[in-house]
Amino acid sequence: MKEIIKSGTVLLTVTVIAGLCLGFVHELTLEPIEHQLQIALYESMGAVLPQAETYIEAEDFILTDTFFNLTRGKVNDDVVGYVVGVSSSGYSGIIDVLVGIDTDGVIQGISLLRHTETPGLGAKAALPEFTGQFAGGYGALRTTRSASPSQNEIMVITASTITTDAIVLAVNDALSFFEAYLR
Amino acid sequence: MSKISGISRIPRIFKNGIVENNPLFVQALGMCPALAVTTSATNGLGMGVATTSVLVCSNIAISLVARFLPANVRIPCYIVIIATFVTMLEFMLEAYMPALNQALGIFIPLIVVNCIVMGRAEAFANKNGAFLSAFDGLAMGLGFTAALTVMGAVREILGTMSIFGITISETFPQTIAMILPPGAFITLAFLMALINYVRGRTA
Repeated sequence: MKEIIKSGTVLLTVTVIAGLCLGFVHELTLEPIEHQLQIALYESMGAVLPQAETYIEAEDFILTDTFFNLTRGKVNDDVVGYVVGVSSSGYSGIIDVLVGIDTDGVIQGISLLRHTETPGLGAKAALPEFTGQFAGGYGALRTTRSASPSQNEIMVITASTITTDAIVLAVNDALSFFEAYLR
Repeated sequence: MSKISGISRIPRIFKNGIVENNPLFVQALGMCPALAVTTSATNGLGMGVATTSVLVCSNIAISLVARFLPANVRIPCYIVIIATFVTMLEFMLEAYMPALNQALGIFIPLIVVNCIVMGRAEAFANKNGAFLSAFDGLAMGLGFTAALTVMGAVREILGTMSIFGITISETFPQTIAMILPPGAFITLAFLMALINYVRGRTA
């Protein structure tokens, strides 16, 4: 009995001290982490909707897990476009895509905020060679294996069709959302 | 007095951790992150450094409290201590090195169950002072880091013709399988065989 009490007390002490240390470090890093996320987000917004000068998060829409961000891009007080954040399932985890759409429904650019795709394969989707294809697209995009895709076609990344499809799906979701609620 | 004899053990500790008893190639520990994370030299290096920092901290902490822990609860206590350090590492990476955090992803929390950390706690830290335990953690960590970086470099070079993100050749063919799981196993196998061959010759 005494042994059990001693063991229990030791475990309790260790976990309480551990908890306190963790709580301390957590508090310490809360702000920097928030800061990092904000930086990443605003950098991406500037990249996908460069014509806007200010980015204001939309208060009048309810966000979901799939549509995790909706921001209006403005110059002075005029809305010049929207930034829509859409999630979809990639090859090895969730991909968060930021899509910049102007008021005519034309994609200005896309950016991958977060992904865990394989380096050298699906991760190539984060590179401008791939994301650059989306600019100018509208309506609904398709994937193609052709080496010279037309305006609304996106060339598949070799050996990474799942990643490519996931991103095109996310972008099409953003476009449909625009058609339904923002046009 | 004991510090003097302690210091003289340090070179031996480093040789042990980096070469003779290399955690990955000789002890065959930490193979899961080694296979999964070494898709590039940078990732291998990052994971190695992260694991090393946990190793040093946990070795020090465990060597300090080992004598107070009853034998029947010592393992859970080690795990709590190790997990605490890993979680603190995670917070720090998220706050100050988000790119590395993204690259290593889920394998950072998996450092908790990396056998190297627990292994050194049981084999060294609970029997030695904090000073030497710190160096043992550092030595084993360096050995692991070197192993992971070499693995990552081999796979990155053969798989993408680049090293640390810098392209080596645009024309030489890339063996994509090297950055996929089969490449991981093959690279580990060949490197292990190489290390053991060299060890065999100099033994």
